[in-house]
Amino acid sequence: MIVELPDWCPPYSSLKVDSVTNEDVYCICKKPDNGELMVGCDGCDDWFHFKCLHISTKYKELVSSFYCPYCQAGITGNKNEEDDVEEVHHKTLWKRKCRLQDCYKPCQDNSKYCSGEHGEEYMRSIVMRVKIQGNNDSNKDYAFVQKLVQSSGTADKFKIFGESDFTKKDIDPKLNVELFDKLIMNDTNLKELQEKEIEINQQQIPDVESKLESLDKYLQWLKALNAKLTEVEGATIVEPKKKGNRKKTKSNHSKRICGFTNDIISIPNTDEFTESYSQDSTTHQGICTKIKCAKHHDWASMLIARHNQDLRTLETYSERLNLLIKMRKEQLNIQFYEKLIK
Amino acid sequence: MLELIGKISDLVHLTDGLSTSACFSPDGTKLAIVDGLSVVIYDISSGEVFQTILTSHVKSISQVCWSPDGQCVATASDDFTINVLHLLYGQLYILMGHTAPVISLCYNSKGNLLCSSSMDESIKIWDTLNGTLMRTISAHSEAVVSIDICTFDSSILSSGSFDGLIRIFDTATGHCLKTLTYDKDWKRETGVVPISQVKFSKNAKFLLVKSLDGVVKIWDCVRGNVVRTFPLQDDNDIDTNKKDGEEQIDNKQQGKQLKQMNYSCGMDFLYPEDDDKPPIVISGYDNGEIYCWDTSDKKLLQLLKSDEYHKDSPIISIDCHGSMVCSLSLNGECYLWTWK
Amino acid sequence: MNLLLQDPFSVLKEYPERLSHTLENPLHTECIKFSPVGDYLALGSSNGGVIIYDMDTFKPITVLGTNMGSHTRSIQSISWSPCGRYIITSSRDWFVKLWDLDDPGKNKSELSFDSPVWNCEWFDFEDKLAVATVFEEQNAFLIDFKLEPPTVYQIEDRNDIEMENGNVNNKGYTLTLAIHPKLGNIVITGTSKGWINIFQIQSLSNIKLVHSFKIGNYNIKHIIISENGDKLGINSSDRTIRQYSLKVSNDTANEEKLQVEIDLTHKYQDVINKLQWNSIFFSNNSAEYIVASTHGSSAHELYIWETSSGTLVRVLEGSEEELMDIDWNFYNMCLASNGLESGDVYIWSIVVPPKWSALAPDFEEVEDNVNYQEKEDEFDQAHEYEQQRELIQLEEVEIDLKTREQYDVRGNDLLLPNFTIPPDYQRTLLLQYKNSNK
Repeated sequence: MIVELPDWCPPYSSLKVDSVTNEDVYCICKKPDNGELMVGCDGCDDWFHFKCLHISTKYKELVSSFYCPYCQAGITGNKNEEDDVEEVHHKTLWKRKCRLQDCYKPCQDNSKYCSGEHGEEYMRSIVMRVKIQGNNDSNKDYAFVQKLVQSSGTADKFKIFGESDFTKKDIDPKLNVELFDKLIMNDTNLKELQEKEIEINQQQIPDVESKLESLDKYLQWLKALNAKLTEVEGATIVEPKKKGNRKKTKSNHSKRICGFTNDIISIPNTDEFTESYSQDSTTHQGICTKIKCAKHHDWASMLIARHNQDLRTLETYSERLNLLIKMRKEQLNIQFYEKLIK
Repeated sequence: MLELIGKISDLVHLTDGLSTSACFSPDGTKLAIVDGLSVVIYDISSGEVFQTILTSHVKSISQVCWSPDGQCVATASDDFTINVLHLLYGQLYILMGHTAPVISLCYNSKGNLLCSSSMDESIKIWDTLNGTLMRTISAHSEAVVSIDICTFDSSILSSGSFDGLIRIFDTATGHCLKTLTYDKDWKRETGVVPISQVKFSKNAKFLLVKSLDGVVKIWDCVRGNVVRTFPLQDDNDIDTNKKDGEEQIDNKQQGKQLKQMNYSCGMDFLYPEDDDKPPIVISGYDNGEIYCWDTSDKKLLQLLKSDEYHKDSPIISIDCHGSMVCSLSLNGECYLWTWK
Repeated sequence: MNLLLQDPFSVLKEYPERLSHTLENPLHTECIKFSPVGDYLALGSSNGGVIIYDMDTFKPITVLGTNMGSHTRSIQSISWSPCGRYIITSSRDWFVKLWDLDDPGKNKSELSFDSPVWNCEWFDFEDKLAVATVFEEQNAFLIDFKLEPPTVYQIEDRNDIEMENGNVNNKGYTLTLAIHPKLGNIVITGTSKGWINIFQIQSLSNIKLVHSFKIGNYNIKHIIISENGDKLGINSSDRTIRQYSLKVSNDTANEEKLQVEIDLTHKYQDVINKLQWNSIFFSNNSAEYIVASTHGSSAHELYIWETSSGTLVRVLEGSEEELMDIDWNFYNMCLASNGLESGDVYIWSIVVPPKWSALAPDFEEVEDNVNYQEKEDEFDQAHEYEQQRELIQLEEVEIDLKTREQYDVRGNDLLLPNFTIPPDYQRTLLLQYKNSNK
């Protein structure tokens, strides 16, 4: 990047001494040193007035390495003749100034401030700007922040101030018994949720579980019944290969009745059943006895699936209710604290 | 006539300069008032503060709005976000997407869409069930300060903006269906006035519009012309009931010093419970005055002066529910009225 | 109201033309049904879940049965009540369940048959009656939901002459049914042996078989009736769709008896590939159009015919798979159909392009460029004066701010009470909690 000479800068002249007075002349104005503030260029060793270069004198302490306009443009200042002229681009570097707004001193090492006092001063100005809702007095705010800092102790603790989930914890009723009762104990919404949860856990889930148990018992009885029937029939007649229902067995002589019934609790007596059973009727004692029953196809696994699904959904519902109760409690706690501080 | 029921600001301490919006719940039992960075829910029948909801906003709130089922409120803030808060469970969503302060909000009648308008010149439609942005409509060249969806017919959305345009959009597709005003008036320099508030009538066929010069008009949405104009009492040279056309027009052209309001003040339709009576327009102004006009014959039915009630503070919000009216001014004074 | 402000030619199109949305359903969709005003779409899946999608956002808003009582096998049919609040679903798990959308977590009531239930429709919502057809049952059933548990009656004519003679003509199993939209107490059933029976149900105990005829020896898959009750469409397993003109009137001689006239008007067949028809549906009012989907891996379109002439007018493309069930809603003019392989639902709707003339009050759309010619009175001063006068006069006109329109431009009744499904805040809160805990 080629930096051009600024408009106000006259073209370069290598004049170092005034021809008339024989004094050393400096800067772009080519005047002798009259005590005015000057800065030395690191490239060409000439001195330049701040004013001539349109730099405010308040920056005098912030110069790190200065290059005059001629060196920046590449006209002068190549101390090392070996370096290639086009590649070396000198640029003025400045030091970082103190963070406090009106201070133009350079920062200390690894600090944002020129001195410890300015650091404190800056922080004080920030705190003065804190405005806390509800307080109309800025002094009060300042005092408040002071208290916060003092109560935290260390900087780390101060940083995590306010992150504790105090609204999520249960409130101690002693803080204000009346308010606690009114708000939290009597909250209808919370009560509803809690009641529902109790109902599910104590009533509905055991209900479904017992249904599953009785279904299981029935199915076992059915299996035994089928085995018995097979014995009875299979001994006398050679049964053609029956493609059974959902229980895929390759046994040629097995008898598998459908077994569907609306009442799985009262299980009839096996022997009685076998005796009075005849192949002709499709139902016997309320139980469907068709062999290849398309209508009631797969009824047992469907019923099991249904109960299992009910169980699963009830459990997730219970979990969800738990969560809602937690959230509601938190909201009520917020309300409680709000009313407490008013 | 408006009769005072109660002064809510006695019970609910509202901060001066920070109470910017008040809104009745859809069933009319509660009132949501913005107070600084939280929303106070006031129960009208018991006369007590029902709940204080904290929002997650960091800058002041411009508007609060109830969901149609009365279970949530949504707040629009200068920190570019919208908060959707559930009354029982707390914060549901923070809707982020606008790139400038969000000014106005409204739900559609089913409650599944929330429309917001902002100073970034766009209108955004959000899906409230999932908390996501569905659509952005950019059809203005200045801040869009007011949007409205009719409660009975949510197929159209109207918007009013500081660029002087009143536009009607299709909520389903986001296309612009109609524009009622121009944004450049070639004939007169002062022809274009920034719009400050828009409100639909019950049947979505008429639009009540207030512009920053204080004039309130009713537009016919289908035909696109003005059907009623309600001027302020100051321009009182015009007696609109006069039949002499010439004199009226002369005065109109003369009294042209355009007032410029500083605040976009509230206004609303009031539908009296007696079905025979025509609807009433209630509008508030910068100086704390409230005007009530009859929409059928444009008569000024009542003028509430500023000294007694709102003490010269701009009426920042007016909301009507049945025959109840709530007026809120910027200094935190909030009153509840009923129309008899 | 938005339809009023749009271009009438594009708004009043009689059938949708473009595929506008695809809803993905990870659970394979088996049947679909729009709510009466078209704001929700219920999808029945193959594992028994019923998901309701919101048509404004095209996202699912409720799942029926998340707390208890969902179906465990594939859903066969869904039926919405006219107010949009109650849904009956029938499934292969033998159950018919009634759901109240105010509390979709668990079913309001349920009824179990002895085998898979094919169709179930609301018959008379006021009396909470529904009709259903069941696998391998000769008659359809009438379900009364008023009591708990619901009671079931068979739809058969006790006074049927043939039955009296002991000569029970085996008409096969009842597979499907349809309810006459205008005369609420007429039910038309179709059987597995090609018989069409028309019953008149005047009360739970008074069921009469009004008409019965056989159209062939094949399964009747679907029966549809047009909204005004004029046309009857029958889809059967012999790969033909038959269209009849239907006329039900009171007998001139005997007022109690009903006279039914059914005449075959058209037959629709796939002549080239002889494919089966998967599903059929009529268009609104007098059913000017009929839409059908075909069976077969190469057929990916919906065909629309004009019913008066029987000619094919339109083929709806867009999906890349075989389409099964069809539902057409007339309020939002959307056609929805589910795909066989992916289980996604494709929605075709009328797409109205944005009107650029809406951007300023006096813009007009023109076809070609028009050379501007100044009007004689363009810059008249007096003209302005008259305009102002007109404006003032306009302000005297009476305005009505309250009454709402009864019908929209398509003739749909706007003042129908329709139920808004309450938002499921619990689901939102749960999702948030899960996300914040990750």
